[in-house]
Amino acid sequence: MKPETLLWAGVGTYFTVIGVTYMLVGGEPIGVALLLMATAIGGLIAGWAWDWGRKHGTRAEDRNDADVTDVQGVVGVYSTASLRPITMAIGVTAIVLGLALGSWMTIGGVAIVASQALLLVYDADT
Amino acid sequence: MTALDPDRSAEPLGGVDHDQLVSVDDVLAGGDDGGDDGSGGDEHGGHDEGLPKTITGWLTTTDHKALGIAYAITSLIFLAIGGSLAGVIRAELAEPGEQFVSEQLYNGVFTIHGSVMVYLFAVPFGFALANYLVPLQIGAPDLAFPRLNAFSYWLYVFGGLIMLLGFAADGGAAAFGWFAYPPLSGAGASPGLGADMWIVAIILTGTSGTLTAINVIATITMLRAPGMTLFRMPIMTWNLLVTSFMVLLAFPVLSGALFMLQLDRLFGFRFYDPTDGGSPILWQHLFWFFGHPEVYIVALPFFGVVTEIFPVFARRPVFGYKGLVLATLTIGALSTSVWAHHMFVTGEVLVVFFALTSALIAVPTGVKVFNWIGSMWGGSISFEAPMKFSIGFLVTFVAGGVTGVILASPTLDYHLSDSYFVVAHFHYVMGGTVIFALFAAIYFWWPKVTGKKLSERLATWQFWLLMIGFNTTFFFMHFLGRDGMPRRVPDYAPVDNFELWNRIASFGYLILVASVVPFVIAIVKSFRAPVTEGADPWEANSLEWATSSPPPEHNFDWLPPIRSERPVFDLRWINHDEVGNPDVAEAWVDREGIADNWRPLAAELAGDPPTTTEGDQP
Amino acid sequence: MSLDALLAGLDPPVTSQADETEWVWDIYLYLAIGVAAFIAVLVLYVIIRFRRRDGDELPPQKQYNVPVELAYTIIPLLIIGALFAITVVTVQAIEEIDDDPDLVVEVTAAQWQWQFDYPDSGVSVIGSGEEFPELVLPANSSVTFELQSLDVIHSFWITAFRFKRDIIPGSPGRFSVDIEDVAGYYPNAGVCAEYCGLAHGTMRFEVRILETDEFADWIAQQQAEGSQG
Repeated sequence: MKPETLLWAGVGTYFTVIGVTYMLVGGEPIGVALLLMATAIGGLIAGWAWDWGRKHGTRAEDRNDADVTDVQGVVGVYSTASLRPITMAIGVTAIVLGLALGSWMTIGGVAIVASQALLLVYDADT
Repeated sequence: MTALDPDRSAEPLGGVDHDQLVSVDDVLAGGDDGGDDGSGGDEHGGHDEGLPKTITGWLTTTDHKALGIAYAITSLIFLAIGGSLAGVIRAELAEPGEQFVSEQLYNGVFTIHGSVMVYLFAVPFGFALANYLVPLQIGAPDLAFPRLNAFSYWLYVFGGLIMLLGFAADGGAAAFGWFAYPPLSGAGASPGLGADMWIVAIILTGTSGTLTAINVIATITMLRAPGMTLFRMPIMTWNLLVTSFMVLLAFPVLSGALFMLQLDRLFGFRFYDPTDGGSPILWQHLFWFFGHPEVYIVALPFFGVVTEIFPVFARRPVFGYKGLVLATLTIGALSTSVWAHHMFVTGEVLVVFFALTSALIAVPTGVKVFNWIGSMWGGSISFEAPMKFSIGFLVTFVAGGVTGVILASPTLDYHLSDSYFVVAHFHYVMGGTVIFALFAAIYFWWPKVTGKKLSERLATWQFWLLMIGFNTTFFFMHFLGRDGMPRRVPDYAPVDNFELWNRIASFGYLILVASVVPFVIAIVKSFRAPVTEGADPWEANSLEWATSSPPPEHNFDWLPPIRSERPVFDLRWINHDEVGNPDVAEAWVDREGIADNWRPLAAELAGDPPTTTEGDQP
Repeated sequence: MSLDALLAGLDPPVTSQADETEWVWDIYLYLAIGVAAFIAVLVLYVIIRFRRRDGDELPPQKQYNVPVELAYTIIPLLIIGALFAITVVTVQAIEEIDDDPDLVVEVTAAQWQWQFDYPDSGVSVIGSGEEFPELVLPANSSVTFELQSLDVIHSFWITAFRFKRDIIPGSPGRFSVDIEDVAGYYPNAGVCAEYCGLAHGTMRFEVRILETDEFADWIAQQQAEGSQG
């Protein structure tokens, strides 16, 4: 994870530099806040990558001389179909659209999202 | 910028022993005949491609390839809708005066035209590429979060529908332009449900984009095949990674700004209300902090497309790979520091700071252009459809790029901002280049997705109609803008050259429409044609060509060793030490230790089945 | 010889600031055309010279050429640096505010009409339904415009000035120009450039620049009409 950590740390550093520069040359606070927020997002990924690397050590993916045989077995479990994404999307759409059309719609949307989130728990059969 | 791998320069090979070239099809078929190209295709035609077969299947699929195709089709439908709306604009502007539509409808039409093209066509087509290609290019079985991916897709579809349904709302669709400046977009100046629906639609598509970006970043970080280090990823994947990060920065800001706007409109908040302490400038900062990265969010995936295509058809490695990666990162970084150049004329921003960052972004962009030319330099270029469209992209992009440098100067922007010069500029960089690269991508990866090639003859027709139509439509808008024609007007002063250039532009639109016809015919013909292409019809470089066409469910039954950013090229030339990467041959030797390994070296083609190590299912 | 022959609809520049802009425009324009032409020729050369001819020969696979890569990074950087320097100098000149101008004009924008007030003389010009209002200015004088909007964002663009400025409600702005000896009538020069709703397309005004003495007569005439009405 070292290259990933460095990559995102670099991104975070860039935004710190540009954010502080912008502040020093007299930039308005909105832009300063947004640039520093960008630092935080870059830092978030960098921090996560660093922590993961610390806990799990070097991966085969980090080595130049790795081959598929170094990581045999199951890569992960990937569902091929699920009804939840579309129903959740309907629910979220209803919640947001309800802001414009009326609270009954938002309430309905919340109900859909809640029920589908619950069903998602049982949706692990891939 | 030294080479990651040993210098692989080689003299042209006069006497290549073609029997010694390894084709992916033979490897996939188990290698029972030695390196003869093109025999593998039909053997793989009948295999299960893993795409859903039923409507329920498509509605519930979480497969990245199915969703990638769905994204592509949906965004092309939105392209058709946005293009039709442009027809209304061009019809109205063909003559001075008001002919076809009312002012209110005209304003709604250009607002939805811009919104559809930016939010519902260009960005989602990039996500189509990310969905379909990222797992294939890094040797992964799917995106990291398949269900989240499907959820993103459906949010995008529902958001798009809501935006279009705005036309049916009482008072018509949103009519405040695609950047929705308050107070015009506030409840006072733009009452009506259509505006609310527009805001809801963008919030939904923005959320969809954010989630997809997280998905892509997680996938690229965690699911690369062993050997696929960061600096062996195809430039396409690099570009999608940088794009995703920019999405992650930009889209939440947009969603937040829109929520604030909605609160203003519906619940009497005053974030943007100047009469009561709010600030319209706040919106502009928030919007353009999204809006400028957005331009590159649109463009970078398409830069990636042509970076894949130039080397393949020139039979060269991508020139200056590391420089390109660096340029992409620099564009990503700078593009989030230039937003206020859209606000030069407000007189309330640091023009010098933003003039500098805006001008600087031309440098990494120029590096990319020269790297593309360098990838062709000294090559052996053939001009199949993807290459034609990529060269069309290159020319169009340079034309749009140089006007971008002009607009980056506040001195000149004070005259040109909000004029047709800007319209011409961004239709070159966000319209023309996207369209050319999009069709390059479709013609290039169509054999991978379907196992069939599209008609070259029709592609040539389409290319020339598009080239002529696009430039006829948009080039003279530069003159219009410089002459003083503002954007977003249904009418203009009846000055001679205004009439002339507008009439030419409207005529060009008809040619653009005509360019769609050969494409549609080519697609229809392709559906009726049998599967003829093997895994690697273009003799390409990256990993997606190492699996059958179309790829099976979860993508790979087998992976070649990855020792450079061109694993399929290295495999093809594995028997030629002077070309092939010596590390690859070494990796094959290492694989021999595995019991059921199979080695493509011509002398030892044994016919054993390939190893299955990646993407297995429980 | 100028490309502006193609731009017959554009009025000539009427302020010294606009002259600055024109000079910068020419530099940028010819450079842009030059760069685009250079790359077009390069692309044309490459696709002709390196087209695939007869065989399957694999071309050289050299992937890096650091001196060349540095060259096409540094040369554009230098060009951009020069352009930036030109921009900084000129934009500062253009943005300079004249606190003691010969004339102050207050511009008030509202959906979808303009109002021009001359506070020194109490004259006021307001556009009416069908007719575009006329902004009358004296030649050979410095003018400072004070901008305000009553509703949404508008943009005050006089094409003969090569300049526009957004008018943001709640945040009045101003800018100064030095009008040259250019008396004349510019019927298409005044535009609202920021989209401002329904009738944005017809929110225009005409510009008339008078000799100094004629301008004084005009002011007097307006004052007389104002006192009568």
